[in-house]
Amino acid sequence: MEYCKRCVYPANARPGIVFDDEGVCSGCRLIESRPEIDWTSREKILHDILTEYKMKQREKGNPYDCIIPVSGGKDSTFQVWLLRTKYQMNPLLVTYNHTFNTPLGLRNLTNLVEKMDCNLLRYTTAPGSARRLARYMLEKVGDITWHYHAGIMTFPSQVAVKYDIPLVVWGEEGFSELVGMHNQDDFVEFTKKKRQEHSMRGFEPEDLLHEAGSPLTTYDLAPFYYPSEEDLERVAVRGIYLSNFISWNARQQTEFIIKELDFETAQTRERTFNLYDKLDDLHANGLHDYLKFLKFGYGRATDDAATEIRHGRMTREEGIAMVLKYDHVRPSDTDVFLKAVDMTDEEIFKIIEPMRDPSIWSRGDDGTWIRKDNIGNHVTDSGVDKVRRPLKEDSHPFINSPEKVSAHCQPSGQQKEYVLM
Amino acid sequence: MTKHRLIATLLVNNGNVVQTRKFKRTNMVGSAFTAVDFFNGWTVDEIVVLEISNSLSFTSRFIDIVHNLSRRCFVPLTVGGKIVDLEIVRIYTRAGADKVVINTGAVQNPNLITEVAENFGSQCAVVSIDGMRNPAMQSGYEVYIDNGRKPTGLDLLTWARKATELGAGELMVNSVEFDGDKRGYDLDLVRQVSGAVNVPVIAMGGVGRWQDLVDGIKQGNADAVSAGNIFHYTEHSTKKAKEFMADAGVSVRYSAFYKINMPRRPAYEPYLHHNSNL
Repeated sequence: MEYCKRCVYPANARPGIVFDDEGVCSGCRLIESRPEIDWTSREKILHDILTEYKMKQREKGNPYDCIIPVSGGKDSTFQVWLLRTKYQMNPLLVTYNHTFNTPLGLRNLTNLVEKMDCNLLRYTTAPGSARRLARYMLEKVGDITWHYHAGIMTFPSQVAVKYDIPLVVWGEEGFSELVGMHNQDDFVEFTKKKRQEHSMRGFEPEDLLHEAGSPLTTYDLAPFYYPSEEDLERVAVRGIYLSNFISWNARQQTEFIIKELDFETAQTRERTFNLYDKLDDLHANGLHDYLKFLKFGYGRATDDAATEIRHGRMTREEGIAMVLKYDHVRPSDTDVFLKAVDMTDEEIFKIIEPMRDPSIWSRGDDGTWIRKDNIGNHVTDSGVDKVRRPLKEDSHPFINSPEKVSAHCQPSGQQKEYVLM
Repeated sequence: MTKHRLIATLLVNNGNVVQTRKFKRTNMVGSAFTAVDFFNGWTVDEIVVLEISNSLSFTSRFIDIVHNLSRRCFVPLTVGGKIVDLEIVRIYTRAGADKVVINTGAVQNPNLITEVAENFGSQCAVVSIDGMRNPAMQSGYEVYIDNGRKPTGLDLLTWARKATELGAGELMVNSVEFDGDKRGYDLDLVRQVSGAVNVPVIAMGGVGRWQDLVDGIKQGNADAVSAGNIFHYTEHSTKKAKEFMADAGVSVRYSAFYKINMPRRPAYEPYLHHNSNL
């Protein structure tokens, strides 16, 4: 396997990565391009966009200037703070409740709504539908979280059409942040196309309904139907990403909201050193990410280490140590899922088997799966030093929020069931 | 007056649409199936799909993809990449291509243009030409082949005229330097070729805003304008681009959402078919 000479990404990273002549990946090149950007003029563009929509909405007598999709996580908390405080917007917050909640996530969502004093509209999927979808999509595409990626990416546009609020403000463009899917000067926006192929793995609810043997009903799939082209055009729905207009730095932003808005972090994690990310969903950093490891041979610690290296807060060697420590760990939230859908470890392994990427996995004579390569074998690859970035002087370890709110922050592995609401 | 076409060009590498800048792949956008599906529904006039990898190992996979795309593509589908003989043209057309794009293969074997025109009609034979500035050439541009990597010593206009004489029904012109650069077409290059031949000329490479499309037609005198990267960024992109062109006084076909009332049957690919020989 070829690995990026600067960060820790493998060539088979999803949804797709490009290495250049120096062996540096498209994600590294994107972050590297950031300091060259004139962020002052970009913020001016953002200001103009927000002002334009604010004026239009207020002229119409609509109480909402824009929609902000929120989970209560670090990004959405910062987004709401930025739009509310700095740009004086009146946002309607929307949340898709995906069922697999943690107490910490619900605490942070409540905290966000209270601190920012915003209206929130929350769609809760029937727990039975969530379980059926999780199981069906696990079998079909190897993903237990299809329903909530679909819900998170669909509900805001449904609300945009229903409430006549054209502007939806997203945070970072995640695929660019990780694998550099789009360049910083592409000003990529949220589209149905992007949602369909990358967030929903190519499947619209219509496709799932029409399949032979599908256990899903229109009731199960109701949250995922995208508005019609005509409705999108009539309301002129437009989704922008803040990471195109401000120099996105998730860790800096998180440290800010810990201090200013009482955001609560995890105290420990099972599958990564990152204490900030994906706190609201029990499986995002757990079983969901472990399935990624079983399929592609890498996991969230690779994503997180790549980010730290690109921002000059970790050396490549330190990042590799983190990957080797975490990527292969079986997370204990697996048991919560197995109980909810009445399955066993073996059944999950069997489903995932044909999805294992042969460029990284092979089968031993005794039937066990062998990872053919890992980043640990590429510490001293030629060309690594040539593309190395200097560490930032003020780099420091992850900070976590104080223990005082730890009632919400159950140590990894102790949560036994989902908290629906 | 002939209506001017808006063409979406998808560059495919190992089954995935990629963005390029100056003919180098910079990032991976997504699946060709999805892109065709959306641009088709957003009322683009034609779709060009080019296989641009530096290897022959993805050709059979690409043919499968073309086959799959043509199932739901209701606008003309033009296919290119690795065309060196009539056999591969047959394979592409059988997979659903309405026209084929020949570039390197045409320079290396100019008779191929005639063979395609004689067997499939000249409307099927699109010759694409990649130019790079070279003051030593009479037109100021030299023709490059092999994904813009290899100079040929051919003058741009000499080759454009010859390709037309050999039977090319259309020329698609791109600039290696302007490709993916978001500063608009190399209008000098487009204008020169448009003035030198009497077949339709498609401008390509470098569109950064909708106005560039208008400029390609009004200033470059192109018959049709094409872009790749930019259509991936915004909702209803190709439809909005055409509406912009119409507002700017360019004669284009009416824009409406195209409804395809048949199951999509998306196929989930569990992993990329990775090949180290990219």
